[in-house]
Amino acid sequence: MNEPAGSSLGKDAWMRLRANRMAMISLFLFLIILLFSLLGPLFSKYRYDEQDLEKVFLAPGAEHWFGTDNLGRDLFARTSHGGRISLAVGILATFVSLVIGVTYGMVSGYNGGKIDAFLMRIVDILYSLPFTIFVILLMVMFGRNFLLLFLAIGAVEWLTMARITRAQTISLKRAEFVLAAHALGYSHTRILFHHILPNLLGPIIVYATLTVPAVMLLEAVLSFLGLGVQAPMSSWGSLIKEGAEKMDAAPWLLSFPGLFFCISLFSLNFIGDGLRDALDPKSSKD
Amino acid sequence: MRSFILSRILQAIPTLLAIATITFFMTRFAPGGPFDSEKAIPEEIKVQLESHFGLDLPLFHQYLLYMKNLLRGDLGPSFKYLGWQVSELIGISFPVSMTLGTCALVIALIIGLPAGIIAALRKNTIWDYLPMSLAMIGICLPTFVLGPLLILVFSSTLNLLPPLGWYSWSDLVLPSCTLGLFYAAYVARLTRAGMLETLKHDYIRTARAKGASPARVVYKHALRAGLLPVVTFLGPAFAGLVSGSFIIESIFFIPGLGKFFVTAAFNRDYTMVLGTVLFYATLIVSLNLLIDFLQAWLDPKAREQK
Amino acid sequence: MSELRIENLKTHFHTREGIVRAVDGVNFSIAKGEVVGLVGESGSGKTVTCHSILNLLPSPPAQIEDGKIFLDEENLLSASNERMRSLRGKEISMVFQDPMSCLNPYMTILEQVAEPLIIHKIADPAQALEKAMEMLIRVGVDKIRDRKGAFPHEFSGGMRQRAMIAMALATKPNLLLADEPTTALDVTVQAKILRLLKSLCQDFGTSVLFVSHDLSVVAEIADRVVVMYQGKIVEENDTQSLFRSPSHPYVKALIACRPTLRTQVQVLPTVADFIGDRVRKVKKANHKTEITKQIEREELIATYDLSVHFGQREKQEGIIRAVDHVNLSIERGKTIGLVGESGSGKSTLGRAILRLVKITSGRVVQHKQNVDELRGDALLAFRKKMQIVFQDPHASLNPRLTIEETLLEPLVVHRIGLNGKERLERVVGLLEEVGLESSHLHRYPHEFSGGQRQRICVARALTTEPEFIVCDECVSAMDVSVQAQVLNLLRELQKNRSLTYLFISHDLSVVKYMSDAIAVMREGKIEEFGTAKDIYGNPKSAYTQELLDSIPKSSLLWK
Repeated sequence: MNEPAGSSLGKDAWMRLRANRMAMISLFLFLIILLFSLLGPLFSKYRYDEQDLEKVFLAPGAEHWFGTDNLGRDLFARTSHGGRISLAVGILATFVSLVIGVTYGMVSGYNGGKIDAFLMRIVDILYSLPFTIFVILLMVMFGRNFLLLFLAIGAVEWLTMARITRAQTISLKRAEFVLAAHALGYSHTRILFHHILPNLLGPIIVYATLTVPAVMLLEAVLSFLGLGVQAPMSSWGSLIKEGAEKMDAAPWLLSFPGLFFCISLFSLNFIGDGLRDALDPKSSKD
Repeated sequence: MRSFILSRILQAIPTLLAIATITFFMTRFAPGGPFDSEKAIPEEIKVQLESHFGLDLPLFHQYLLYMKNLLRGDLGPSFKYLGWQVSELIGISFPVSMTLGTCALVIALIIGLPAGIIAALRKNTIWDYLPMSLAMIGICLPTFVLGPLLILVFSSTLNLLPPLGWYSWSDLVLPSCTLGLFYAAYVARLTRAGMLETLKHDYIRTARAKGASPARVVYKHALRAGLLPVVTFLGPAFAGLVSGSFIIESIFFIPGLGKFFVTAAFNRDYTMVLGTVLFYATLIVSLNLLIDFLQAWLDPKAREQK
Repeated sequence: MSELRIENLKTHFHTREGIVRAVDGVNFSIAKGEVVGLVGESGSGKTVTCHSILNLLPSPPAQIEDGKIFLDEENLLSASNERMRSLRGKEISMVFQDPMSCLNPYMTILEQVAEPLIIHKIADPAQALEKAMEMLIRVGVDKIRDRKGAFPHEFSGGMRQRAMIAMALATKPNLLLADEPTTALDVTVQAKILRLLKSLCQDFGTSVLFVSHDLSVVAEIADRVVVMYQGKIVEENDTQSLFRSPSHPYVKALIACRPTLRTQVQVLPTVADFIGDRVRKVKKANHKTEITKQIEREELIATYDLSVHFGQREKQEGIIRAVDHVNLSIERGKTIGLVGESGSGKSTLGRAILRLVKITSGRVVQHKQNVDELRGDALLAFRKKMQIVFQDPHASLNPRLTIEETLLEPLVVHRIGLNGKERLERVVGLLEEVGLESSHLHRYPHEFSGGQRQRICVARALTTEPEFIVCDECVSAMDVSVQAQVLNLLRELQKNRSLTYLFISHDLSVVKYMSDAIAVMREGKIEEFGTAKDIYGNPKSAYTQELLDSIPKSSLLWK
């Protein structure tokens, strides 16, 4: 109750997030990984697909910071390149799921009644499907296509987003400030976009932060099954697969991409948790 | 309650039919066919094979034929494992996956539930931070990293357990731990969150005001509501175990259904793909049903409404 | 002799924003068989005191810093956890405010009532269930006879509170702590529960600490009253003397600012009037005569045979008839009071008149036009004239908008004011009219207190210069001192702007104070309609009579 004067809810949330040490460390780690993926190739002498058959399975050293693989490719360049792909898939697919899920959930929740029942029936049914199987099937049958990959993943992840958005929309729709808006004669579009959507942002941001690692995991699963990006391109998933196959001979092939992958999942999950606490003051008060 | 069950079962039937239809056309519209890849097959034999399996008929005709057989419970013959029925292949491979999944789930619950409960009761102490940090690591350490690591430690280095294969009981340990630990982490987090939420309720204070001991407060008053999220999670968890088994089976070379499915998809073994998808779908739909009932049974209010 | 004695109790909350001295040096005692009322507004520390006795505080952040709590010469604050557990529910029991959330929804009522007997090994499980059954029947939960396996949600609020009382008294404790036990209940139920509590405690010889924000309820049951204000005790006296001659200004204010059935002042006194030494001369009402001066009677809005049903479309048994064939005519410039208990359909009626819920049958007519048929600009014009203020000012302001944005938006939608500057001037004018400052414009709703937020809601309703405002329980969630301020504001606005109100409330005294005519609602129907004087002086329907009888009578003792 004693919030400082003149502050928006966003500022309050940021203050609370700042106080969460784990979330701040995670944010820092994630920024490092982001920078490593974006800028890493600039610092590397080697390209990610540059082969040198005379320098296979070199251990990490001054020349090759992370060592080399069975074709003599530089693992530093490949890990950094793989990070770009993994993060890009994670963020793009999350964005796809966000757009579909939020629109769907808002339409369903706001309209209510038969429309809502029908739309949610569809989500329920889709929920009960073995979706990973469908994604795998899609990737196997139609080839390994980057666009298809994140469309397919996005299509799976939007379901939860739609459910969350719907539930929130319904409770907001019944909120007295929305009734007051109706009483003041505001149009439905105004109410939806000016009154309901801004109040949805909190849960949406939190869930989106938690979806990115989930998507990255799914991409890695597909890559591990040999269904993700194609060599010589790399993603963390495909690198881990290669590493796991050769871990007896060259353990660094597993450990470097594995470490980067795990740290990004770790930090994203902690950021998501921190955001949830920060945006929901009730949960942080105890 | 009875009409609720009935309506849910009736709803499942069109769902499964829709899945069959979508999968059927998806496989057929994908490039390539079951007998394309092997160059060894002469053209006339390929034509013969295709006419034997009815692949030369118009597509819609094939679809009707497949659905007709499906309604009789016949999943058809495999296109690749000549002489085998799809149902026979599933019958051989599914028990393997089932054993693996069940063991993993049991491990997940045995580790996850107590860890989550203790963490919630000892909030913000070492008993909370330690298991929860481990759980976070467990969630962020995917099976395909953990699996190879476990092999590296327990087979290659310590020589305690066999690395691959599916011959004896000891083969079960590493794969089910790999799969189970991830879910244990998840269950622990859910249990903690659910328990914390429940412990905030006013009726917990009522119980304390009656003089109930901390143990009684937990097992008599908090556990039931606190575990509802875990029960809800069991449905997706089982579906996840099924798809997780693809990875595990390919890491540990286990002849489970997941491995069959991926191979079938690569080989364009249409009937096998369709059969597996339908089998999985049926399994997951019925599991979800079961969990719905379980939830309704746990929650007296829902019990009455339904 | 069993006695509870609290000495210099200090319970503080260590929050991030600093230390909150919730209870700051409290002394009082309860003698054997005595009923002591503990009164204070929200945040005064009364509940914290109560929880300190049983050590049920959430800790952290709560911490008992100092003091002693003696039960028969035993200091509870230095007792071990095991000792406290053996006292809780056996020697000292507790009844909580909300019987909905305080009963475990996953356990049957019978099990829960039997539980203290089992925990304290007073009876073996089978006996305990039998005793629990007896106790439940004794407190009037008769339904338990046929439905032994019933869960809390199958009972009404009143029945649940009876079950709570049965649970607390099953072990025949020496002391009962009752924390706002009737606040969540309707007046008629409240009256019955108070009677039950009083007679049971007399039978068992149980002492009671009765905590409430409502002086009149406490007056009904307590032998002695302790008043808390900002963590301290400001006055302590036997009930009669306290009401007859309060000495502390805050207590005087509390007694004065709540309208009673006999209140006839035009402006209610507020706490500030007493605390701040600027005792305002309380003017006697000439409000009533003012109204009668208006000779022409003009109907502003009316309902004809209006019904609103909720629930499944075709299934008959599932339908809730929230509003059931209601005819109501509202005259311009008057205040119509709408009273009824929870679930009587009064809020739904208010919303139906404003076309905020879908009506099932009948008509709402304004200016000879069926409101349900209004479309486009005609509907917008209707919305402009008809406004609403809700109960919870926290929920009725969009938390993501500043006050400026909230108040400017209606002006933009209704194209009032020529340009941004003019609109802003209007908004500032409105803020000042409801008693806020223009410096508040850039703040967000969560930065205001409940009373201020309600003023903002009133300002928002006024932006479109409406003729008619539905006040839907708009002071029900407030402390009496804040309530008085908002009521004063509403009356002042009515005078200055010649507004018409539909004043919805469950509080009969407040409704009488505010209204010219009153409609009593019950189960979706209007039970009785008449002038305030007729309804309260000479009620026709038995239900109205019951409602009136349920108002705590001790308040009539007040001078």
